[in-house]
Amino acid sequence: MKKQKLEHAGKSISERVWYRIFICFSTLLFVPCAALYCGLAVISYGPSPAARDLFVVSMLETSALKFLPRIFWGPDAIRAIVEANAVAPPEGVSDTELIQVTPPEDMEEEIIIEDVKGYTFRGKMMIVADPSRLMVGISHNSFSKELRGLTVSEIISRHGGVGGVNAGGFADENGKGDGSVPLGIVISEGALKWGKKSAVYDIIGFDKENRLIVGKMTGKQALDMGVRDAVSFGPVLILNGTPMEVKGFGGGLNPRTAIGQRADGAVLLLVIDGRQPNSLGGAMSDVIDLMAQYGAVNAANLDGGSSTVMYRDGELINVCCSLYGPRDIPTALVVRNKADE
Amino acid sequence: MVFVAVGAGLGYLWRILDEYEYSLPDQVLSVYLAPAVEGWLPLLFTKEAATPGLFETPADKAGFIRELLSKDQLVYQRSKGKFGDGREIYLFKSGGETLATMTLQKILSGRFGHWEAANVELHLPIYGDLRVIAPTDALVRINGASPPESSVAEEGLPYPALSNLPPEIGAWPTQREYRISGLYKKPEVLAEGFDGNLLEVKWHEENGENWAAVSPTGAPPEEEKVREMALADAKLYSMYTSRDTTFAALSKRLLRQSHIYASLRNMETIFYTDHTRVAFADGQTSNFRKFSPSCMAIDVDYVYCVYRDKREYRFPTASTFIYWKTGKGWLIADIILR
Repeated sequence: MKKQKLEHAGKSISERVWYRIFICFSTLLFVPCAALYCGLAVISYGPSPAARDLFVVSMLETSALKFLPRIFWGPDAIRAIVEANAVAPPEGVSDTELIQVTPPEDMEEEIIIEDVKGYTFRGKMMIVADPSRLMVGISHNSFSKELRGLTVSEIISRHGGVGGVNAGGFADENGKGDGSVPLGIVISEGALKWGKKSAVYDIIGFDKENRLIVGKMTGKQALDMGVRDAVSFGPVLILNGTPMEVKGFGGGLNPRTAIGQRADGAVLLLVIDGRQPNSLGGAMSDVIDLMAQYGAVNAANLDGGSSTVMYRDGELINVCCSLYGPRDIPTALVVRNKADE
Repeated sequence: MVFVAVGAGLGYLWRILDEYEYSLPDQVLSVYLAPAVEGWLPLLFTKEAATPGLFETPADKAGFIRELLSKDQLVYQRSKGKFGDGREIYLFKSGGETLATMTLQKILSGRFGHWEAANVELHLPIYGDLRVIAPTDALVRINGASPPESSVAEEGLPYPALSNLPPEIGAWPTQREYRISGLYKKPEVLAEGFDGNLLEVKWHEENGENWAAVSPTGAPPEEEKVREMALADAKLYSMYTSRDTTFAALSKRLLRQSHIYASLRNMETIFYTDHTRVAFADGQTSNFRKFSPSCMAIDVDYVYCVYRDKREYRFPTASTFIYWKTGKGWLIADIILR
């Protein structure tokens, strides 16, 4: 009897230990998840519709976290939030007559980099006086799913450039894209590298007179206009001197890359850091404000998020939000060496 | 304890979100959205009408605002404002038209701060300025109120039709111009002539300029007598031009001191001297105007026919006869061929 009692007691102790281990483990796993879910629920249904909207549009702009808003809202509600926080589409395309490229002998300092700052972000603005130095650099002469993309630094080196930023979008399901295949159209050094002449794209590119062209057109129209380098993304932010109308936040808080051109032809390349404690990110309205502040006549948004990087002389000068470092992408806007170098 | 901590954390998050919502510009801007029209009135009266206007009351202006805002939904949108200096500019629009520009200033308070309206510029599509040109002795009322002397911009403006009259005759009738600014709506302009009759007001609203011309008009009973007199004078004048009457006969109808007297006296009237007869046809009068108790005008249109060698020569004539009252009755002070 005493032996049975001892055996029963032993089983209870081990069971109790395992039970406690199980409870601790479950608590450590369950409580944070529950807290996170409840936190998101507070954001979704809490006292701030603005915070809700910002959360929804910010998550929808990411590649890996698009599913989060769908936990709390249906597609109609999400669509309504997106529409209430969007940038109005442009009417027409950029008017090249508004750009008078400064003759090289009158150009000021070739490349200037300035820090920019806002309520929720910090970033860099690169001003390239000579627009002829800008081109669309590509990872490979032809794109293929079998060929992984390159980092912006590698693309810049491939084209002998001195700086640049990421450019167009690419297939990036769940944030795991390898930058092999671009989205939309790619024109590089006068040649159509990706896309169809007959399809309509949101063009962001340069013509042979080094004027920034933004707007919707077919690939054929772009080539007929003399577009020498172009990618697809958007939205257009400033068209012919007029900032686009922004509803609500005009987008979420995320890392941003954008391009603009002043009336004297100087190109503006902007990166905004995001998803960091000291730089949450910028909304489209922030990008419009900055581009307008720097005198952009035309400006458009490029791919952002974890792709947002800016290089100068081989050095990464902003803070990439990806923990894995700069991503492999198919296209970049490269600042070439000066013609006489 | 874990659940209590989580609960406390969620409560703290709720409070932060509440503060964030309060810190947004919308908290300030939404006050001025319709149907909260009353939010506009303090702005209006602070910026535009601290004291009631002479021609429009605060209620008139408020009514204008209400009517304006009821046409289409009032919305606001962020303008391309300065960045990073704590200011933002918003445009209030209705039906695509900007009604106001509001500058918000960020006030640093609490965790997120808050916004306050720093400056408002109204761009209301009000009627604007008005010029009223009326006879000097007319009693003008704009929205029922008489314009003060301070609103008289010009005095002694001559009537174009009377510009050829000799000044030594007497005080010729003149006009004066009133200028009223900042009207919200097109006003009602009424004018009473020296004889107590209501005068005609003609409006001109072109190229952003508004002006009302008050014309002296006649009283119907007097106009009939003048009509007969003017037709008879026109016939006499025409017969003089064809030498079918003498200057002596015509001069009895002319004001001796007038320029027309001297002109007609010296006029060559030798055309169609050989003719068998004349006729005065299709005589009509119009546009009777009484400028003052001693000055009036009437338009006379007719066809003067001269017959020669069995042929009829027709001379359609459009004229204006200006009359001046003397001790001998109404005499012709000027004849204008229009």
